Amino acid sequence: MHAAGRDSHHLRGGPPVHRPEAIEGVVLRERRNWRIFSAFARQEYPECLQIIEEQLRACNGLAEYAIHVKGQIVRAQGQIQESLVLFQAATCLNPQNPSNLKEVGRCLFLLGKHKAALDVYGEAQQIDSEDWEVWHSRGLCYMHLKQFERALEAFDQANSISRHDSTFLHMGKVYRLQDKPAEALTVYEEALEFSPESPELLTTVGLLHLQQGENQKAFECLGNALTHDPRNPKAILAAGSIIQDNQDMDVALVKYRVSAVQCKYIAAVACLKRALYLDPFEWIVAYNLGLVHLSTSQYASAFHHFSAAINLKPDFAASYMYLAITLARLEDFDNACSAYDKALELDGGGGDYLTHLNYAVTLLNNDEPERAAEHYASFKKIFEALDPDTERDQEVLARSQALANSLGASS
Amino acid sequence: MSSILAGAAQVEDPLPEKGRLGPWLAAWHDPVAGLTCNGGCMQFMDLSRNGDYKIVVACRAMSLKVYQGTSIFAEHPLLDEPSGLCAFYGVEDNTNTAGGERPAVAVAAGPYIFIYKNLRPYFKFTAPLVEPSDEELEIWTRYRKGEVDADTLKALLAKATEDGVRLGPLSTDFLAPDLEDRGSFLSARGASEPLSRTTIITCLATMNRAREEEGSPVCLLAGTEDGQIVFLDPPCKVLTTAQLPRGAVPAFLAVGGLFDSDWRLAVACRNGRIYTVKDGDVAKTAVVTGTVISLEATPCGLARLPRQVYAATTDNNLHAYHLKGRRDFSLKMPALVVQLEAMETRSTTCLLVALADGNVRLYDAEKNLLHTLKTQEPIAALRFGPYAREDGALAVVSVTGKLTIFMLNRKADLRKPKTFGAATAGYPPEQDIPLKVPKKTKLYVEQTQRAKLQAGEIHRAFQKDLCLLRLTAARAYVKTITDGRQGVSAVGAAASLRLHAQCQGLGPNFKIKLELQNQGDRALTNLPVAFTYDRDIYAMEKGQFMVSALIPGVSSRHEIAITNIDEGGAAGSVRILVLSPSGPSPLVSAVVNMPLSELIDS
Repeated sequence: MHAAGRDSHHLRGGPPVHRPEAIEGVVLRERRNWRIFSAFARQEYPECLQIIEEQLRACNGLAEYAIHVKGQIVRAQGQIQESLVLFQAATCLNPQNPSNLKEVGRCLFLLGKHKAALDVYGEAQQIDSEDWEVWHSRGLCYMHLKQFERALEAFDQANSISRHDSTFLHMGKVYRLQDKPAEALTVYEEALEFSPESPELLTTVGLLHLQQGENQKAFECLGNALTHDPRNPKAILAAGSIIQDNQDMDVALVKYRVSAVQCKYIAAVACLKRALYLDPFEWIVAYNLGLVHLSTSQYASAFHHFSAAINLKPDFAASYMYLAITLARLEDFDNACSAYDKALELDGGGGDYLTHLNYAVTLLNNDEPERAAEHYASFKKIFEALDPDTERDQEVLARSQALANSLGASS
Repeated sequence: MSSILAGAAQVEDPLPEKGRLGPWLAAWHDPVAGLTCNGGCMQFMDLSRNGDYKIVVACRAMSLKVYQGTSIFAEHPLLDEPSGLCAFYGVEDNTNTAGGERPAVAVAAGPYIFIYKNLRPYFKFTAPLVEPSDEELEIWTRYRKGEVDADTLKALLAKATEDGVRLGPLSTDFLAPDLEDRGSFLSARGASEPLSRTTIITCLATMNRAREEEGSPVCLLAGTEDGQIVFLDPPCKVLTTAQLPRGAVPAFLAVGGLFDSDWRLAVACRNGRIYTVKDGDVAKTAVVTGTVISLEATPCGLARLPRQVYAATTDNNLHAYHLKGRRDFSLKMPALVVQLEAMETRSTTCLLVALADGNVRLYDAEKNLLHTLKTQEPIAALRFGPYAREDGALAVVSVTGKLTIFMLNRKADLRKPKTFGAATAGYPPEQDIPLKVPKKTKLYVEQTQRAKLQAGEIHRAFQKDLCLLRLTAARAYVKTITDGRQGVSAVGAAASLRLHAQCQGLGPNFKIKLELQNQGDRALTNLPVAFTYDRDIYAMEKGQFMVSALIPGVSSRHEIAITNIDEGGAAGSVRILVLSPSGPSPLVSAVVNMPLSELIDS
């Protein structure tokens, strides 16, 4: 081998066998950085850490990039404090590298030290003020410090440098924290113009519409989200509940199935009892179990679940109504009546029309046609005052007709 | 094709089932290839220039392997772990044979690019040295002239670091906190060692010079650890360089255009940004444009299609950008993207996305998912190109080193989406799979039946039992609060109380004598004493009094008058309770059975 120029050499003869360290006699501090990055980007963390340790040993721990990546891996494994120390060490080696400062700030942010994080981000901005990520992170800090105006300012700055979905999502969140759904919606709509197919954005907008009670719009957004990501559990659950509200149980169940597979909710959905075991103080589980037992005519069990639900949440009128139905079926007429009364009392105003109807049926079955007629009249009044656009349940109509007939016959 | 057909007979189990392959045909599988490489270190090359393409792989285990057909054609040791590999046309060649020029193989390793001609070492290029910054140079010059001493040198260098000057290895070693003997360090290295430093080549690519055709002269692009892109002309003359902004270290290069006319190069950097480098106003120069794409996570793949640049990030997203930097769309991937590869066929250009879960997704330029190829293992590297005499082949290396080659079906039409049954839209398959609902036992079913038929009885029995239970509980409670302990009581752990009661008199006036003794070792204060008795028979002046203090060991005596008011002089009993000032249950109680009373004569 002989030198053929300042920095090129012709190789002649057989392949050389010596190791590269020997070529120049210098250990290059950054020799393996590309390997560290390659392993890190592929998330092969054990291998990456091994290379990092070798590198750090070879240059007495003075390799900035190796320390930086080690910090990122350690943080990804949940050891935030340790990663903070590593990023601070990397910053010591190269105080002017904004990416080290950004990571220090990120660690402080994750540790909940938002003010300290803001200081560090300020330092990073002195080096590079045109970094959207720093502005975005500042916005996050302000958001957690509940300084919403400053958070929005920071997010705006981030967006003016480079627009990103996550910035929009957080801006919307700030507006929602301030209880300004209209502004949040404006932000989300702007975001949707920027990335019209982001399932996350579509789901968020859908949920916001759902909260506002605009089911149609919500369903549109959620449907869109599901077109782009048919397995998004959040969108499925929301869309499923709308479908369920529209009485389309089979479709809802099929949709839930997808998310159940995703979220490992199988146990809970398949068996409410399992859910009760997992969370014994969740009243709605007991309530649903009660409904199931009521419809399978296991009244004794239904009674237990309803009374458990009532004990856990004593102000939910429907529980009392179903308890009353159960008691009526159990031939405990007096208690059934008091349960109906309690349900009507809780509903306030005239009470729920269903309660009145059921009450009337129970009373009639127990030979009290006068009181039955009274409640039937209340039912009629409320039922007819309902919004004419809402769809009338056929079963309710049939029952009401049958009741009217027997009342007419008995009186 | 002959060599491939011979290999097709060796297809083994691990290949995906037939019919799921879509546009691909399984060609060859070598489970013990033992290849360790990433995507940048594998290329298809027509080394012999006879139209029989070979696979060249630069392994991490420092060897260069060449596959032809279904066997290893050649293997050479490498000097260092390779970071990139390229076919390099245009190296002057005296042994030129008919059929065109043979490509050289360029392998980047450490600071060098090794050029192999006819698989023999031919040329070595060293990445240009990085000159020290003016500040650093000045500091050392002053030291070497003797103007400043070692301590001042250290202070000046430390200050330079603070100011953001990037120092060379000499200064960094000198500033190392655990360096013990700075004097001997300086005498050994300080006086003579050059300040310029070697840099490392991080990625390699080629760009055609004047013509698009395969085999026409190219220039070699090398990204360095110092954020430079070096453009090399064969054999290795530096044509021009482009310096990326500070902190940007190139990781992936995506080339478009011709170097001699106009071109555009996307450079994905470790700091999560994609810079664009293009031809400058002066011929054969490169400028970094102001177009900077900021990614939300670390980039893990980059590819260029005619109209778009695709970048994959570690948060499982695939982003597509217009060449000018505006984002076109983003797609969420089900797993980490390992590599992106542009797939140019005669009819169309597609994008191959290799995922860490072993799937290879095929997208057309309109982001339609054409097909998902399921390989059995996580993918380490993937490359599409001509192999053997076939135009389109896909070589996949798994993380365990297996090599699998698929051929693109010549009849496959990649312009029509949904040809290969890829579920681009519609509902996911989970929707049709019933959930596993836990089985009901026979006992449960029987019990349910009973509960249905005899709901009323069960309920009433339950209510009755519940009432009884409540009654029992209430009784037990009353007993606890009335009784306390008979005679002696444990007050906490340290004190106990003894109560002795006696009745004197013939009636109707009686006297109850009480003797209270604290047998514990703690004084008790403010103890209420109460009497319960039948108010039809007896009367008392006051039914209770307070014992202000009970010192341990000393007994306290009390006399209380009680009158029998019953006309018949009936006898009853009086219960005496010593209550606790804090708790609800009595400390101690006693019952005095009263004697029959003398009748009042009046």
